[in-house]
Amino acid sequence: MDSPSKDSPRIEMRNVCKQFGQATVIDHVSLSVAPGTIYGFIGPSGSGKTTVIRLLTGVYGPSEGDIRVFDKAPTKWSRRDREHVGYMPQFFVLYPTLSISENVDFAASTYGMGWWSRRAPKRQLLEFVGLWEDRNKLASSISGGMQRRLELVCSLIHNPDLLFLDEPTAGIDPVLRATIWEHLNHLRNEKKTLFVTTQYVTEAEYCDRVGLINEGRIIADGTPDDLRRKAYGGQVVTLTYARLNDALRDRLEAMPEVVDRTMKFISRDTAQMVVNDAATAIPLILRQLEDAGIPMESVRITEEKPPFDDVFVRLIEQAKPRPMEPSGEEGEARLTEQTGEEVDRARAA
Amino acid sequence: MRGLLKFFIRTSAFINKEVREIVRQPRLVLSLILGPFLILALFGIGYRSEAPVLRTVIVVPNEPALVNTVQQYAPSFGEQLKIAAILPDTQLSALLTSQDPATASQRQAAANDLLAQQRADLVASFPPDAARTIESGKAAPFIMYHNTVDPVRDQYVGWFGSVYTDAINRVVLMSVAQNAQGSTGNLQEDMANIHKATQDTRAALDAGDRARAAQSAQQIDQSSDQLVMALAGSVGLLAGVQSNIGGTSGQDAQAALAAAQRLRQQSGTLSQSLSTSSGAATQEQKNQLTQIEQDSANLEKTLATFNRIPPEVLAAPFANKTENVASIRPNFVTYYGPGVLALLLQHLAVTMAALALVRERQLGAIEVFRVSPLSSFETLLGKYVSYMLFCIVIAVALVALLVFGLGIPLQGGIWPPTTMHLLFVSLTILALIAASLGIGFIISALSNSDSQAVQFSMIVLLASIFFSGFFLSLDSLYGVSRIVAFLLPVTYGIRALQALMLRGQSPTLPDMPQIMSADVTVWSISFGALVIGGLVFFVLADRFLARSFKRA
Repeated sequence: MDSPSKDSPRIEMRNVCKQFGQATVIDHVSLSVAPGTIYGFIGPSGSGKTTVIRLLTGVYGPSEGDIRVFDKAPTKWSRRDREHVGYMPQFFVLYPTLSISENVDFAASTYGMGWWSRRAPKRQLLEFVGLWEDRNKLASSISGGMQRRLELVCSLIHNPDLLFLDEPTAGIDPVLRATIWEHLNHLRNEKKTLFVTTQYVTEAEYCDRVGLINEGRIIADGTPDDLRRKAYGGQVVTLTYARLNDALRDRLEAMPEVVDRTMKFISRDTAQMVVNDAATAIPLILRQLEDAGIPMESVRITEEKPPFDDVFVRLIEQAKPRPMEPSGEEGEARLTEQTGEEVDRARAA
Repeated sequence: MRGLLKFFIRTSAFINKEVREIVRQPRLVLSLILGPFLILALFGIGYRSEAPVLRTVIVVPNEPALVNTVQQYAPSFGEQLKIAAILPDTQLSALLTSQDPATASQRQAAANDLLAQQRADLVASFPPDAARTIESGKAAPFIMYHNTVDPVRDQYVGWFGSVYTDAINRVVLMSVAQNAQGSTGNLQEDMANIHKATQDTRAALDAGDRARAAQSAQQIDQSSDQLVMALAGSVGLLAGVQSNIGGTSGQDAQAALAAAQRLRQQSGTLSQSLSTSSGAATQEQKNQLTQIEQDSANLEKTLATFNRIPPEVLAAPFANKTENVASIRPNFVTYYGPGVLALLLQHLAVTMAALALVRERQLGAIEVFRVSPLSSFETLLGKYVSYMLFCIVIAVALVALLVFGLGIPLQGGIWPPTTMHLLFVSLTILALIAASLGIGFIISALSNSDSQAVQFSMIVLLASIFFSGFFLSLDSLYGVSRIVAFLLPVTYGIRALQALMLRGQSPTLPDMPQIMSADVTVWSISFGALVIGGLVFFVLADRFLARSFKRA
């Protein structure tokens, strides 16, 4: 492996397309992954996540565009280059009639690691994922979660710098998913670079950077906060006050820090609005309320972190072409279509 | 050096994995060893190699003499003929032996009815007018009907029919011989007359009585005329036999006939010269008489010999006796043992290898291998070695069971290994397994699913059973079948193992340099073919697998 500069991107895709026959599966995808980070590649089933991993590992070559991994096209990797890469596929590909320990031995041997050199990392990794005590159990007799952890060990046994994990948390319970992300964070802290695909959009929270893919196209790429900001047009703050009314909404919406017409009533005493920057907007909003004679002890205002499910849906919606919409930006920025009067009418009903 | 070490580690990854996976399936191993052994043992216990007995209905014209003859001679036609019934029915026999195409369906219906009614395997029918047909210069038809869709049985009945017909013809010939021998009684009388007349002629000539000598010579002439006429028919049978096989000098029937003719000619000449001349007998006349005496003596001896030969020997002068000079006395289990061993090892190797890569592909492991530093060659070599080891274990167990359990010979013995024979058996088995694995891996690389791989393996097995010479001779195969036969490792495996185990043919170490010269044995050719086939199949399998491993 040519040693790339310390801070140069581990992965770089520029305008990559992949076609199978007439079908375009990957459509002008560009992304970049910095060393020592977790890049979450999120998208629904069939969106092209696995194809991107196959492109990045050299299993497929691009139809168009340029791919560099470790500053080298993956299709040109040498054997030594491949020793720096770990790959955990989407489905369980270990051998059910072998024990946990034997599966790890096999995986290590395929990377040319002899008995002596794999002995210590095997124990360390199996302990790391909590499988050391069960190492003599057959892979067929362990649970799905243990199988995923075993696969993780197999992909890590040769101590790769760059790890491709294709849906490592698919089909397992939330507790175990959290455990696996804990392991991944630990690996990131060890300066490894991780490219992780997932269908669970909420897992974007665990990533340093997230790419959202839908129908083969990247629809958003950035940190989790960047994506929220993009989805909502700013940051969301929640205001709680017992006597909320339309006059107060107009006053707040007139503030330059608050994005126009984004305030909505969640309930009789709670409203949300989108601000350009929560850290600067919250003190200004409080001052505005104080100026309006509202006692500060009766007001509570906090920055909201909308769930990534909503962020993802909004980004998908935004990415859809809207030929009939007269002026997009105003409408897109609103949290809901409901006005304060509509909320009141709904309450009355 | 480090690269080479990693190569060995990567290759051994598959050896370890495959061996462990197999060891975890003891029932599979046990069934692979015991299954074929039990099948062969059952075959040995349950198979009878005798020719099947045919229950036969004989239809004869309603003539008591013929019915008696059939009843008398039919039981002597052999154990395979079991008479279900003898039906004297002139009309039915006429129908069944008819050559008229218009009655074909009627004949077949009648024959089928008889087979069904009598629960018989065969209906044999004599023609009602055999004598007239023979007199007209044609062979009388002896027709047999049977109903089978089994080509082997069809051939067997055809062969059996010719044996029946030969037996009937022999009975007729025997009768002819008996009659001929009966007529030799008259010949003896003629010979006695000639003998007496010759003595009288000699006495008259010695006494100088020319008139009496002429009278006696005339007597010789007359008797020899009768003798020649009778002899032509009765000694003809013996002459026919001797003309085909070559008679001994001075005693053969042709010489007897010639002597009789010479006797007639000389006696005629002597009689005439004695009648027309006068005075003392000339030396020439005496010589002629001496010749007549010698010829008559020879004739008498020939006739006595002919009379001593039993009529059944004259009718069938040769008796069948075969002697096998092979080093072992073959039976079916012995003969098929090496074939079963070769067939089984090929099938085991082909099936295991065929499933090997398909499973990896279905599991998704090939994709992981493609990302890893593994090469297709390392993968294939690792799997090759591991399956080779497994097949060797199975082969050792099977050979031991066949040799010690079923008594299948291993010429040259196992211990002490002085003849290097065991080495050559081992080499053959290794080459057979290697070539078979190659075919299996090619199938595996080309198959998309388990079931497809198993289907291809079964096709190879079926082709092996039909084309390998396992039970059909390779000499019976032509064209494409023969090409298929020579593409199958088992074809060479069977020939090589039979040559080694049953015949003990193998080059001993001092002969090794001669293998490539004129002294090429069956084993050497077969082994060479297996080695070349193994290499070719390995290279092909690697090329096909490399396509699956191709990155981008």
